[in-house]
Amino acid sequence: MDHKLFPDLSPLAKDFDDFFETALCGFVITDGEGKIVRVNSRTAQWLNSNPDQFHGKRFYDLLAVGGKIYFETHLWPLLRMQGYFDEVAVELADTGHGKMPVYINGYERKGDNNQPLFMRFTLFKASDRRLYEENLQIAKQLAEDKLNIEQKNAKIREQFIAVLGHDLRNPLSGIMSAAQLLARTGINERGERLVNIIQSGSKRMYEMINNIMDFARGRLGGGIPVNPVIVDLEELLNQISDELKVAWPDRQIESDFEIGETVECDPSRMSQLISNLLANAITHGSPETPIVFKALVKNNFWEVSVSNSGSLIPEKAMSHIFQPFHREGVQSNQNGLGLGLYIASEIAKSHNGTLTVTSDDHKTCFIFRAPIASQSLSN
Amino acid sequence: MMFAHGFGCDQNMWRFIYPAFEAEYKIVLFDHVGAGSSDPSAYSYKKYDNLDGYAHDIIEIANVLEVKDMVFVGHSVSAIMGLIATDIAPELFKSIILVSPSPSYINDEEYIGGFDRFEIDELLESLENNHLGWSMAMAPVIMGNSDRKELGDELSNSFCKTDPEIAKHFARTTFLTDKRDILQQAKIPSLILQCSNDIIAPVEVGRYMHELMPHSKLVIMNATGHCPNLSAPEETIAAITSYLHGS
Repeated sequence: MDHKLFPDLSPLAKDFDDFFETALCGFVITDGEGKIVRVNSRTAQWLNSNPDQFHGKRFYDLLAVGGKIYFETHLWPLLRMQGYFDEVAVELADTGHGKMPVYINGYERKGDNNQPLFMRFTLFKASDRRLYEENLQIAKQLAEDKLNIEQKNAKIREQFIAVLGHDLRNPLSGIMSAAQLLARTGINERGERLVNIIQSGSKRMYEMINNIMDFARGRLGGGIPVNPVIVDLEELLNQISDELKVAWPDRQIESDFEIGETVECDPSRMSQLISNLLANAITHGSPETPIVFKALVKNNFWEVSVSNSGSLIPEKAMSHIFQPFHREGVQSNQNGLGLGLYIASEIAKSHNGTLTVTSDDHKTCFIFRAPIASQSLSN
Repeated sequence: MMFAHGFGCDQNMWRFIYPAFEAEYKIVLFDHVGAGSSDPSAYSYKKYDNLDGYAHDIIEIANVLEVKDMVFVGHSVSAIMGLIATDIAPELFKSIILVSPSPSYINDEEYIGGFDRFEIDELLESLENNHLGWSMAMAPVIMGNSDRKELGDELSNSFCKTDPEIAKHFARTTFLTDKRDILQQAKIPSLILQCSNDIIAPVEVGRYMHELMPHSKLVIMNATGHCPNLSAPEETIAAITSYLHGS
């Protein structure tokens, strides 16, 4: 097809021939068996040679050794099996220009008898793309390494928290029982006040440690374990609100229960959830108005809600209110570690239930809701 | 009759061959673990660090399917896996057909394997650096990304898709294997099908195997390349048929 051999070729055909030879990509045509019939000047130039040199060779002869093997084991089979392959990275043989990276597309034209007539290959120079891909590879590798390190660190931290929490409980128990004994020894009024401070302080600390341990357990993949039993819900709820009334004698809690049947739940975890919500309402609600404590069992669901009057929880805070270490506003000293609502929502999940919150300018309400026939409570 | 594909593809590479034997034989086709539609989670970098791991899979498949008097057809590296399997459990096999086999790809003094060690290293290095194949080095991560499903859409070259990490390991296991030592103890009659122009398993390799292996027959085919089962199915079928009917 060399146009010098065909001086009568029309200008259009000459132009087309020139396009083929000097295109910005390589063209290679082989016969049905893979023997090269024609390569364009561009390909030959990339290989530091001229097109005639390749006549009768095989396509893989253009490639570096890795590409040769790859071609024979992957690409040739693909051409025969699906008739084409696309966008495959290989390297041209090193003929003084280094191993030039290229992308090749190939396809096979079949004759009437389904036998291959010829194959065509297009080669695109891919040096820049190779660089880009290598950079991407390195970035991906770095990111993966960093992530691995972070995950390992996080795990160690959480294990540390779990161990720390566990070990803190023993000395604290000692302090608590010592304070209890001290209170019974007939100390004077000042001593009693001091013992009270020790007792309430250590009780708060004990709760915080429990929260930390629940949190660490949840993070370590154990979830919050529950041991569900049949429970008289009304009795349980009254007990919880009574305890809080003792702790905050000047606050009012209005109970409104419609409970016709028993429910299945883990009573101590449920107490933890609900007293958390009540304590939360006491801390954040306006002190003048009572807290409304409702419970309802209906239509295969049971629902416990705690609402307090007060101002709107800002949108920003709402979005991660159930996340660990969330603290509302700046008065965080009253809030402990910010684990309470996180653990409460985890307990809700362990009961196949949900814990949600609504808040407007006057009122904030937390609602726990779970199905009664909780088939399988996670352990 | 069990067909085992070689490095690079999957059972589809037998599509032109096995139908010719369906009337006479029960056909068993499979993808090696790590290739084709196999479960990638079943891949073990320890088990498949040498060909014995694959040979045990072949035996396991034969045992589960209660195959008796098996004719095993293995292409390329699978031919050697088959040979190892006949060494471990000869009772399962009637004969084995080795298509473009090679016990070792690396030249070693008198032995012509087809490649020098540095060339195989170059191949492995190219695979290691993701300089060969599809831009799939990124694919596994992308495919795990369920939010952007379009990124995980089936890649077009589906017959030869492999996890790039597994492909690298399989290449290493394949091309660094030297199983020349088991040839002499071959227990089962074998047919060696050798192409006349195969850069991966040169004619010398076929002759070498034939010389060392008892009960072996060598046929040098007119077919060129490494995959006569794809490039010259008729010739391949004819050679296998005449061997099976002749012996």
